[in-house]
This record gives sequence, C-alpha cells and structure tokens, in this order.
Amino acid sequence: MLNRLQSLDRARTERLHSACMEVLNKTGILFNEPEAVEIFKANGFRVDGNKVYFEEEQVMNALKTAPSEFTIRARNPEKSVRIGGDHFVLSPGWGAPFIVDAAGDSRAATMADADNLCKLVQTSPHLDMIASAMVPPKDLNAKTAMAELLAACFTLTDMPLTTNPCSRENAIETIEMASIVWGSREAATASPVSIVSVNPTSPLTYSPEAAGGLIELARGGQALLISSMVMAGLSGPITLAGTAVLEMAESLAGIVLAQLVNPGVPCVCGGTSCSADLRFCSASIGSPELVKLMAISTQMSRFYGLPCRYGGGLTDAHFPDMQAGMESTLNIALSLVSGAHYMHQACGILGSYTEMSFEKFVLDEEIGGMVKRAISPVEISDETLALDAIDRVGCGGSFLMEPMTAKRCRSEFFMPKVSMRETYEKWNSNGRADVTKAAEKHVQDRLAAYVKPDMDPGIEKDLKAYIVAKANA
Amino acid sequence: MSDYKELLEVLLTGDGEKLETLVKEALENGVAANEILNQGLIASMDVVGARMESGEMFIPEVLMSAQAMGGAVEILKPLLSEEDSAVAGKVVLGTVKGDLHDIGKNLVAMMLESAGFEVIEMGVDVTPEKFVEAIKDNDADILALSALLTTTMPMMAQTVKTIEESGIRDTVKILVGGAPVNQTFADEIGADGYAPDAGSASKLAKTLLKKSAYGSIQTN
Ligand code: B12
Repeated sequence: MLNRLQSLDRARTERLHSACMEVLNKTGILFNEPEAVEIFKANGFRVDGNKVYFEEEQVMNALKTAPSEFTIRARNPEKSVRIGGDHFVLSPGWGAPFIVDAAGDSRAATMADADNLCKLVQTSPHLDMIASAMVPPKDLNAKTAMAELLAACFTLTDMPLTTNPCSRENAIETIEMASIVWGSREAATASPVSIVSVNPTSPLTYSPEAAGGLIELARGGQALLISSMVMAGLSGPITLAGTAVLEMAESLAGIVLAQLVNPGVPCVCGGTSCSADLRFCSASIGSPELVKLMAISTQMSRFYGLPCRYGGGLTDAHFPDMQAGMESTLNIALSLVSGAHYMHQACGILGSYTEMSFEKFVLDEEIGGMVKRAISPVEISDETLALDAIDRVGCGGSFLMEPMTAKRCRSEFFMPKVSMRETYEKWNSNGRADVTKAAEKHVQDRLAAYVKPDMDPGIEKDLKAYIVAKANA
Repeated sequence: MSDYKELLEVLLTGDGEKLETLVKEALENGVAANEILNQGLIASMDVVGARMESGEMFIPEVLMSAQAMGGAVEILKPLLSEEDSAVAGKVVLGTVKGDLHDIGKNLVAMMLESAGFEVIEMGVDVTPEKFVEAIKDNDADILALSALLTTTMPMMAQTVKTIEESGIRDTVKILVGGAPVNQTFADEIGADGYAPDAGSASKLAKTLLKKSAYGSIQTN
C-alpha cells in the first residue's frame, strides 16, 4: 500500500527504537519524586540520585503488561469507549485560559463558559469524551477549581471522562469524586472511568506532580495518557528524529513506572510534540513538523503495542479563520488516517493551546465528523454495488429517481451542520456571512437544545458537599 | 575609529572569536575602550535588537550574537571606568509557587542578560517569601514573575502582597508575564508592567528603570 506519510520500514523503526533505548539507558530520566525513584529501585533499576536508567529488557518486560486496547466506562454505559486497536476517540480542547469570541475579542474564561462547553460536548454528534478543565476559569477559587470542573463534567454530561491536569492532589480528587459517582471506590477503580494526561517536562524530567499523579492514578486503576510535548529547537533537538526519540523515551519511562505500580493498567503513549517557531520561540502546533512527528509516533506506538495519542484541532491562529481551518484539518485528518487512538484537544483550540473558541469548537467537531466519515470503510456488498440500478439506468440516465436514492438520501452522505453548500446568490443575500457566523448560531441552537442527563440527586448532593469540604479544608 | 561596519557584520553572524579579534585590533589601534563599547558593540547590538523585533533575525541567532558580545565585553571590562561598567539593573526572576513552566522565563532571562541586566535566577515553584528574601539579599531593582497556569496566577497577586507587607514594595519594580497573564491582570494585582514576550520584557525593564541598558554592562 502506498503511504507517503513518513512510512517507517523495519530498519528505520529499529534505528529509532535503539536510539530511544540508548537515551533511557545512557542519559536516563530524572524523576523528581522520591516515591517513583523508590519504586524503580525496588524493581532493580539502576538509580543515581533521582536519575533512573533503564535496560532494554526492563522496558520491554514492563510493556508486556500494558494492554494494546481498553475500555473507559461512561456514566451512560452506551457511551463507554474503547481505545486502541481499531478504536479511536475524540476528546475536546483542554486547558485554554482565554475565550476568543465571534468578534475576535479575548477575555478570561469563566465557570459559565466551562459549563457551556460541557453542554456542547453532551450534545455533540462527533465527540466521544468529556474533558474537565477545557477552560480553567479565572473566577474560581484555586483550592476548589479542579473539583468544581470535575463536578460539572459528572453532572452536566454522562460521557466518559478526560480528567483534570495531572497533579497528585488532582489525581486523588478524581478518584474520590469518581467514587461518589460510581457508588464506591471499588466500583470506580475496578476498571478505568477516566483517563488523565500526564506530561513529562522535556527534556527527560518528571516533576513531583506529574510522577505523583501518575502513581496515584495507576494505583486507582485509571487510564493514563503519558505523552510528551517536546518543542523541537527549544525543549528538544531541532532535528525531528532526535525530538521523536526524546518524546518516545519520556513517554515509555512513565509507562514503565505505571506498569510497575499496577501491572496491566491501561496506558496511552505518544505526544503532541511540535516545532518551535524560532522567530518568537513559541510552540508551533499548526506546523507540518507536528504532522511528521505524529506519523513517526503512531508507527512507533504500534511497534510497542500501545495505543497512541496525537493530533487535535490544533492551530496557532487566534480566530476561526482559514489558517485555523487549514491547520486543524491537517492535524485532525492526518492523525486519524495514521492511526492515532486518542485525540486530546480535538476541538476548540486557538493560539497554540491558549485560547478556546465556541465557534471553532463546533467547526472542529465538524472536521472530526467529516474525517470519521471519510475513513469509515465503504461498504462493498451486492446492495451497495448497485449493479441492478446501474444496468437499469444504463448509459446516460439519472439515478435521482431510483427508489434507493430516496431511501438513502438522508443517511448515505455526511450532512454538515455548519459548512455552507448553497449558491453564491444565497450566500451573497445572507450578508456574505462566513462560516464563523453560522457556527455562532449553531452554538446557540445547541445550547438551547441541551438536556441535562439524569443523575441521582443524592450523588449530586454528595459532590457538592465534597467541594464545600475542600473549600473549608 | 568611526567605522564599525565590519564589527556589526561579525556581530550579526555571532562569530565570537572573530569579534574578539576585531575588538583587540581596535584597542591596538588606540581606540578607547568605552568608544568600542558604546559606538561599536552597543550600537551593533541595537541593530540586532531591531532585527529580532522585525523578525529578520531568529532568536537563536540573536542569542549567538549576544554571546559573542559578552565575550568581547570581557576584553574591554578591565579597561572601563566604574561608571561605564555599571549593570543596567538587577532582576530577580522566577516562576511562582505551584507552577513549573520555565521555558518562557528562561528566555526572558537570556534576553535580560543580553540587554545588560544582572539576572538572579530563582527557578520554578518559588514561594513569595523566597522572592522577598532574594530582593533584599541582592538589592534588586526589578522582580520578574512568570506564571502559565490560571491556578497559579493568584500566587502572583499573593507575591505582590507579600512584598508590600514586607515593606520593600517601593524599592522594586514588578514585571509579570506568561501565557494567561495580560495587562488587565497586571493592573489588577498592582504590578508595574506586563510584557507579552521576552523581547518586549527586556525593553520594558529598561524603560522602567529609565536607563539605557546597553549604556552600561555587567561588572561580575
Ligand atoms: C510547553 C508547555 C508545557 C511543558 C512545560 C515545559 C517547561 N519546562 O516549561 C509541560 C509539558 C511540562 C507542561 C506541563 C503542564 N502544563 Co503546560 N503548556 C506548555 C505550552 C504548550 C507552551 C509553553 C511554552 O513553553 N511556550 C514557549 C515560551 C517561550 O513561551 P511562554 O511561556 O508564553 O513565555 C513567553 C511569554 O509568555 C513571556 N513571559 C513568560 N514569562 C514571563 C515573565 C515576565 C516577567 C515577562 C515580562 C514575560 C514573560 O515571554 C516569554 C518568551 O517570549 C503552553 C501553551 C502555550 N502555548 O503557552 C501550555 C499551558 C501553559 N500548559 C497548561 C497546562 C494545563 C499544563 C499542565 C497542568 C498539564 C498537565 N497535564 O500536567 C502541566 C502543569 C505543571 C505545572 N504544575 O506547572 C495550560 C495552562 C492552562 C491554564 N492557564 O491554567 C496551557 C495553556 C496549555 C493547555 N491548553 O492545556 N506544559
């Protein structure tokens, strides 16, 4: 099969693998968390201070217990998702402190925005997961902010969860709050009800928060997304091969730790590495370099038998304009085509992760929907080959009057919710409104159509009480 | 010597060795050290600064130039008067408590240093008390705070408050920055300035101290 996207043959794959093992073995990884270092020591890893060194055999042995696919349970069992193998999920944008509105004005995000984003996710035709802290609101008390965002996800949606930014405290509150929702700690931890993004600090370092959170969540049986964001030229070598190796080494080191803590705990590897724009030293997430790194990462993840995170509705633009569309489509489409399994940040992001746009949220959703549709296999059967119809209509006729056309006209093709397909005259007479305007209206319609999913009022009360207790602690 | 064209060209390429040779030659030809510094190096570095701002020069190239300049200044230092070699100002710089992002902060440090400031690097996850201590110990002119998380922005406010309470607020200008920070927030917490990137951070530091940073250099 012809694949032009950085297709790695055996020799190149093995070269990358051995480079990765050399980094892990020779340079080592710094774990600034004593408990992590103790775990490595107890398992016979070479340790010097907080530096941990890995033998290839130790890595490969640990990876043996990591599943290649797994399920994350949702409050609504029909919405539980499978990640890995042939299965992939889209999870929304995450962590953007600012909202850019339809006029292009920027403001700090609020809890009302966070709630509205939950409502968009719950009504989404294409998203598979909810994520807490899609926007970290400025109007919340830092002490309870993360718990409040989690509570919003649990109560406003019934979807599987991408949880808080990873720190030990957040990890503990995720498990405690999930235990309230699922009825008991046992019920919440028997198999994952959430996945969290653990970020190594490139190059080659795990902060106490990242390593501590990882340990806590691995113990609590939650899925872990252990992926790096190396910025080539800044926190990684400017050459992409080196940056790919760094990313992989960091990701594998964390996955090994997770497997030592709880063999079999689901882990997703990969990253969201990119080039730095060295005119400004900023992360350039709309770049083709991200796509190249993605293509390498998805293939190396397959080599290690792990599900892979990459891609997203990623752009460096500050408005849902053509640039945003170009970059986001490039990222979403090629990542899904290449076999990424978990797409964090799939919609809404602007400004290299710093801004969230409601309009772009629904536009990216539509890109996701289009790509999902484009890659879903064409059904080849007697009915769909339609040879009878072809023969009946013959040379030069039309299929418009075929009964099958009427029967399938609503379902056979992807129906865009926001993109426009009408005539020039229609567009012109509508005030030449661009797709952002249509998106703005669609957001309003969606929020109006939102229905809160059922939840036992007792659970909701307990979640509230949990937050109050946190505030008073 | 009045023509520093070659010196400018060499500085732009970031070739430290060649720059040092040129500086030594100029000294041998009897040009005064402070003239080489002001009309040669500093004027050329201003061109570098302008080219960075216009996007003609990339930041790694600017840093190479700054490094080359630093080497050349070392040669001149023993020949400069006390006044000529005063630092542009002392900056205590760090990422606030709870926050571990440091790439942007480190870049701010590099830019401040290449603009002639002495930077006291506090690292990440720094408590307000530690900042106060560092300002006092170093007699700093500027405190520069970085935060990239919404949840650590209140720690910036807390740091400003702690500085007020310790009675040293008047002695120090406070600069803030990082992705979620903006001018409105800087005003809210009573900081003296906000800059969106490292280049404007060092410019702002200079205007705040109302000194030409290139008009003076580091002593230690
Ligand atoms: C790289 C990165 C990381 C790296 C950090 C590596 C490191 N050593 O610093 C890693 C992967 C480790 C990381 C971790 C986390 N991150 Co982070 N990270 C980023 C990212 C993508 C880029 C930051 C960066 O380095 N940019 C390049 C530098 C050069 O730019 P800069 O930092 O903005 O600095 C410039 C200016 O802001 C200014 N400046 C900076 N400081 C100062 C100070 C002064 C005084 C002045 C004047 C100017 C100034 O000048 C700088 C140079 O031009 C941002 C998104 C973004 N685009 O900003 C998210 C981002 C900041 N991270 C985010 C999050 C949520 C996290 C985590 C919590 C995620 C997790 N799952 O663990 C952890 C936090 C850990 C912790 N406790 O701090 C969110 C923050 C949301 C929020 N506001 O609350 C962001 C916005 C991304 C997102 N949407 O999720 N992150």
